[in-house]
Amino acid sequence: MAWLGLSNRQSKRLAALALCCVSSVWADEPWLARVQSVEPNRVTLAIENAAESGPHSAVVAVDPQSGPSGIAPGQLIQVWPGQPPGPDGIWNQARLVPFERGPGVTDRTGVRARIMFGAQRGFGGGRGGR
Amino acid sequence: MLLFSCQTSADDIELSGEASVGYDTNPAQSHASEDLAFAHIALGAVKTLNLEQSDLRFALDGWYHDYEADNDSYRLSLSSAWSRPIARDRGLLTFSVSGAIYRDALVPADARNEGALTLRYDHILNARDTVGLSAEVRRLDYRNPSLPWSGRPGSGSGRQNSGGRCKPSGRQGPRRRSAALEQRRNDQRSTIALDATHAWSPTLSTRITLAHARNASTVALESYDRNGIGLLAQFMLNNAWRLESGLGWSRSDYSHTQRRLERRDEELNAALVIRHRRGARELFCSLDWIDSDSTIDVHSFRQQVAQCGMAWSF
Repeated sequence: MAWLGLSNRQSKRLAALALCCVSSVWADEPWLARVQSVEPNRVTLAIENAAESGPHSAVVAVDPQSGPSGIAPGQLIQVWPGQPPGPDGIWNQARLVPFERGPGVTDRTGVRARIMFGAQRGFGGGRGGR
Repeated sequence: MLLFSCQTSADDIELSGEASVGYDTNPAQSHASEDLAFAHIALGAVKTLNLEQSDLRFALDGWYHDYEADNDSYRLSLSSAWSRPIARDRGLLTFSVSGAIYRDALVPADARNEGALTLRYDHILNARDTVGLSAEVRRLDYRNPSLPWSGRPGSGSGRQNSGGRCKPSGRQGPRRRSAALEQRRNDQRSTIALDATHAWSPTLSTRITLAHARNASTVALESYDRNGIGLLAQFMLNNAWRLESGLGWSRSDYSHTQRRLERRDEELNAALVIRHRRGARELFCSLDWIDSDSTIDVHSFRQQVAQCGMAWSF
């Protein structure tokens, strides 16, 4: 990295940082899961893309203060499982992500309309759209 | 910047609001820009009916853009969307009908009534990937007749006052002959778009969109074909902070031009939004940048918009 004006030590630190970022970006494989039940502090899931050796269902802990936002029984969601569950069998670091689809997707500031996030949200709308 | 927002829920009707203030370097999107500060407020009400195997959603939305001086604009829209999951919920088909009125004191020529039919299909391919296909037909009936060659305010039409405001089309004095040549404008815009979303990690997802639009206008100079591509990246920095970054490009080829000059507009836009969620409230700030180059100089413009605000949603 001499062309960037970095020393060997700085280059190694930069490479380690990049490796850390890349490894976090392509970390674990997500689940496609159907929500079975929703409680204030936990969500029970059926895993639709379960590997043969992996779990076919899971109980995931959620923050009781914020709750499982935007999630309802029967819904298909994306789940990033994070660390394996503890002795109680509850996954404590999982992230539940509802798929953004349908007519209820918000577009504050209109950024998605301007970046052409679907025809109905204003591609080519010009001034006064959305 | 001043922030304000409110949202409440009454029975099963969701009421939401958001407010922001900001600065726009070229609100009229004209060649000769005139910058203006603004305050923006938006309100919405949504009622969803859960039918046996589908949902029916009614939405009433409105926003008011309060620019400096007498340059305000507002939009009211009413829409109804029917959506039905198919393929064991992997697919979602949505059909919507909407109508809107848009009024604009800054550029009266843009004031219009709109009606649109939209069909969209979303499909979950796997845990990481989704695709969507949209098709829309939109009718735009412009309220004020205008001279087809006058360009946008500030682009040399001479119809702009010192505050950057375009004067309404009068029919007296020396403008009488021009007024007789003003045309009513009705557009029909057909758009089709394909998008694909990929989740790279728990914290990063991207969406790429390809779109084509054809605008047929009673004012021949406003008929065009537009092709575009857009890329949107979302970073979930943690449970509270989210960053959205977008980049888009489009090219518009106009069917008819004056004096047989070819008109082709190329537009590049970029956006950066940061959001901070605090319970049911969300703070947000955004930066937008548009650079539109035309083969006919008076149609080129640059615009930057910065705004910050707050919203409250469930």
